[in-house]
Amino acid sequence: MIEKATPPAAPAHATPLLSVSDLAVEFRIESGTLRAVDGLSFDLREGETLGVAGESGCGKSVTALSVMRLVQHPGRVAGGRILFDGRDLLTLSEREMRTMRGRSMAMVFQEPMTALNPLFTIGTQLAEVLMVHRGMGRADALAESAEALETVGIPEPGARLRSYPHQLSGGQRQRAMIAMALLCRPRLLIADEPTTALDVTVQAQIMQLLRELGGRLATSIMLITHDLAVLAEMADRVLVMYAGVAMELAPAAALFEDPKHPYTRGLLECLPSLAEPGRKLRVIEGTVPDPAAMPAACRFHPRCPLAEDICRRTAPDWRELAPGHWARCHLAE
Amino acid sequence: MSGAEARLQPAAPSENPWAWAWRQLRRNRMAAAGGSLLGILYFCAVFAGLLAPYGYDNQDRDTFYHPPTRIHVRSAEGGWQRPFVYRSVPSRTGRGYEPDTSKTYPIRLFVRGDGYKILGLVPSSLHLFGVDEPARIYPVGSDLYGRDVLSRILYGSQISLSIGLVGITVTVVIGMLIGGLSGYYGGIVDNLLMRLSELIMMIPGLFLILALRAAFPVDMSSTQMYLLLVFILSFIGWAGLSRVIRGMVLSIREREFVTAARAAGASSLRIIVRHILPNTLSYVIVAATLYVPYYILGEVVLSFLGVGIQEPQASWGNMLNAGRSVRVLSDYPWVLIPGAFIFVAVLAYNFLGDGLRDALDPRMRLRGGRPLA
Repeated sequence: MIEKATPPAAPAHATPLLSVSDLAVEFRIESGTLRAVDGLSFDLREGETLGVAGESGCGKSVTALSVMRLVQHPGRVAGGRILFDGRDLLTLSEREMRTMRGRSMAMVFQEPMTALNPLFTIGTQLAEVLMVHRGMGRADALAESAEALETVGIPEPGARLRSYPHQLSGGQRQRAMIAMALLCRPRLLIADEPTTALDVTVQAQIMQLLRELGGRLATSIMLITHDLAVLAEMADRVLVMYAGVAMELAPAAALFEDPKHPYTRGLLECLPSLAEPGRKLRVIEGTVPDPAAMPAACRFHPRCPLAEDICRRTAPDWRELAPGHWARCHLAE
Repeated sequence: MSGAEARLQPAAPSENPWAWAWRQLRRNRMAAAGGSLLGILYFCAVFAGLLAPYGYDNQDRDTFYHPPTRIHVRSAEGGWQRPFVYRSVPSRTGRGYEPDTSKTYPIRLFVRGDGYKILGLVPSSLHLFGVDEPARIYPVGSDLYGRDVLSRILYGSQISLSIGLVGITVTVVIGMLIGGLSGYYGGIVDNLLMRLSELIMMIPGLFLILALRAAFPVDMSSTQMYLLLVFILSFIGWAGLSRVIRGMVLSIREREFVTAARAAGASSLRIIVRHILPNTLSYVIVAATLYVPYYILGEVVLSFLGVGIQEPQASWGNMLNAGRSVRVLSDYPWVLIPGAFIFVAVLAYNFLGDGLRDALDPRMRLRGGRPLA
């Protein structure tokens, strides 16, 4: 097995593969417009794994769908730029976008059962991608699909090609999804909670597989999860989102050792720790704000244990506190 | 791969969801009976020319409204003999017929007679059975023109049974396409298409049928007439089907595999046709099977009213037309026999449709074992 290629020492001036700036996504519902993502900016470098963490409803998945340009009515991208390899995806036609999806960028979903069409065999579904994007014949496409299944560690790939999704275990289905996503060697892989629906033991295997393949194929990965422990293992950098905005962005090591934002600290304290057995797990008081009634100023202040007057009066800026370590908090230093 | 995952792998051999449904269906007696009956009816329709003793327009004016011919197996002297018939001559009383016992006409197998084409392709003149001229055999009687009712039923089934299948096929294609587009795109497309379908469902069926028929020329060849009937019946039928399909598409398009297909770069048309519509198939198959009887009855109604299949072509509907007057009905009840075939065909389709619903219905599947989706 090939070791993970050291990410090309990214000098500050190197163009990132993906560069999102000021992204805003809105949902129009009867009672008004909701902002699911508001002014989000981040980069993803070539070969890097970026973890995106946050509670349910913080805008992680919507961000992922925006990058794929798959946000569905009544949602829409209301502003910002998404540069992929230097091209602004938001200005591409649907036709151009379609040729990028599956080929330059691919996605793995949370529920491997529902993400595969129950009526077709695994082989049919994998081969379809190759036939659409690479214009391959059915026989060639099936042969390559079998290879792809082998790469993701599915035994008897030839037989599995003829299986229906319900005949595979959850872990195998997710492996098949990963094989499908990587068929055309995309430069960007978005994995949206790829292990949430799986058993813990299988989770670790799938993560291991993602890391291994990501390294071998030098694919940039955007890994969305609510599980910070996973990111500690997997991610090069971590983006923490809360209520549609970025709260903290830092190299993984820095984030876990020295979290700057009280929200990040809160999330980390929710994790059980082997170092302190018997410690009662802490929770973050309160609940995720209703997008229709977003708190003014800092969105986290109603739940923040450190909130001061300024937090209720003015929205904090996105500040670089240490090289590559950004946070949105008045109090962080 | 480690043990935990390997153990989760199902031990059952590969089974296609359709193969599973097929086995369920075969276990259902009513459905199997309905299916076999339909098989027999369609077989007879395909080989109508061979099974019928005469052509659909072969007439003998001397033996109109002839009751079913008596088949004898004992000769006048009382000995056993191969089945034979006597020639019928008008009765001396002036009503009905009486046998001319001076000569016997044995029933022969595989005789040459009126020409026909199997499936419109293979020409032949072979008939399963028949008797020598001038005697005639009418297994279930003859009509006003002295045409064999059984032969006409068989030829008529070619039209009446196929119109149901062709009609439903056209309807399903249109209904799925319109329902699919409507449900997938939503918005203004959905609004327009669904209002249109409501418009069609609003107009009383029979009125619409007659209005459509009136919109076309009176004189048409039998082929044109057939196609027109298919068009009329499908034109009315797609509306209801497309509304149900639309509803299903609305829910299926929210499923994750649709987003996954989009993320893999599939076009909208491909997603509708390849990923969404196949998931409505189990419903469509059941609905289509249960709709076929309406198409058969639709043809019957139109032909009965004289705006469908025209004489001398036979169809079950225009044959029933002979039974309009009570007098004919009471004196020559065998002209109603086509009605019995309609009844049997409709019933068989209903049995089969119910069985299919049981085999394909997802709730049944959960009870029976493996869910479809």
